[in-house]
Amino acid sequence: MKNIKQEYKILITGEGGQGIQTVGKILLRTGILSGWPTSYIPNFGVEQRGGVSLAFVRLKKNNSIDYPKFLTADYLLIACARARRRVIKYLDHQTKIFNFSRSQERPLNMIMLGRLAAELPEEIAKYIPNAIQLILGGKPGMVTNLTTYQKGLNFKNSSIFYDRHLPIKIDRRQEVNRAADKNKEHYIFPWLCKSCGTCLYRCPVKALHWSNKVYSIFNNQPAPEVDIKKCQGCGLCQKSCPERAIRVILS
Amino acid sequence: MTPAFPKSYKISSKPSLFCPGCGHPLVLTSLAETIDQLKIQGKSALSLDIGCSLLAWDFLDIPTFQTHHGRTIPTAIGFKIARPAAMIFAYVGDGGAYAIGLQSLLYAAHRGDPITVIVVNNTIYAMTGGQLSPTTLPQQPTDTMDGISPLQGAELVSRAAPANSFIARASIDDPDGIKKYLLQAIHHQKKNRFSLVEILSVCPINWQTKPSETFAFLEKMKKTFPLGIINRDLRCETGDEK
Repeated sequence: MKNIKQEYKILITGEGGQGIQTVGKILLRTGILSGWPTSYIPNFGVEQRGGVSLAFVRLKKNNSIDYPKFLTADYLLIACARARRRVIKYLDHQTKIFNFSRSQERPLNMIMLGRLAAELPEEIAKYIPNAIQLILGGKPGMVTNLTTYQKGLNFKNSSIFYDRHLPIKIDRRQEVNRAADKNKEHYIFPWLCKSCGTCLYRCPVKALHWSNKVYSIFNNQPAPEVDIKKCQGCGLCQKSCPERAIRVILS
Repeated sequence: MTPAFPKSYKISSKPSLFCPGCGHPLVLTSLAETIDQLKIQGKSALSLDIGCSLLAWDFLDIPTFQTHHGRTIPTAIGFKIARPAAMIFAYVGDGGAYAIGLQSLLYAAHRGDPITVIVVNNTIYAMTGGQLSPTTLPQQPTDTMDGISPLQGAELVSRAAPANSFIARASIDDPDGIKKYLLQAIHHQKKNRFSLVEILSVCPINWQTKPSETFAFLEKMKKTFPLGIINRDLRCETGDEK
């Protein structure tokens, strides 16, 4: 008995592009037919110049359509070896990866779709053949597409894996630099800072200077640092920072 | 310790998509704090334009939609007609308000449509590389040509708007002033009046200025675009209603 999740975030990737986007469109049509609010978007970037094509599909159980791009995929379908490196930032240790880059089956996108459909709940997957006919109907090879899809449904579990070799994601959102004395506390959050220099300029007593230890979000630009003895606690730096990367609390 | 984020911020989208030193996040933060103060997050919506304003698509935790250049205001009016109880903010730049969207803005003001227009004026078309805009100052260098004659948009709109609308101008170097005017603008929208707040903003990336030069230019902008309230209905503040 498959556990039906509230949301399915699917990333399909490969070279060439049309086959990948077709899978995205079929999944979108499937979601709509099954009554699940679904959104899909291709990645708009260097794909047309020989890069890897990406398709983001998002199926949600409750009734609100969400922006189709996501930070981390639940399912990843890979059609070519180069695609794996391209999508590494969308993976975590829970992402189920279906790597078909060495498969000799053709059409490859239909096999991948079939394998994915075995993971989706029946209430969605039963509409996929209808969606294939709607999207690809009238084109030669329709029967081949449908039979290859059926073949993919019956593929064994051995083609899934969970990635154990992901680069370590460093979460900078916990970083905070604190400087305090008995009157005030001054916090700087370098993960929000963009090194614009507005706070340095606006401070009435020039208590802020560029750090030579801490970087902003740009790894070659410094974040500010405060000289707490000069600081008056006026809070102008907090007010003038566009990203709220500074917080001043009076004790 | 967490940053001093307003309640209606969308924390997952921070740091924001705006350039370093941009004025937009300061305007949006002031708007967020005003929404928090009046507790209207549940019924606020934001309407965006093409240009740098669209980078606010995920900035606040309120429903946000974006449309064609210059059509932000008519779309916001449509939203308000469909949801009269909501507070709608039409968030445009100086190009979207005073160039391509000027006709829509003037007629929205003329009809007294109950929306709040927030015009973020940085004197250029920033998203596309810093071209001349209706509010470029004389001899200000831009990507296309030096400025000649700026348009005082808020004053122009106040000629078309009915006497009971609220029109004011603030500046990003005084966020408390922005909040004060946004508060009055929202009070006017609650009374079904038109309101517009133009906010003088900066674009250090396209102006190619360091912070000291950026704020010096902002002071220069204040001479052509004076700050303050241009038009208001005093009855909205006292609470009297005819």
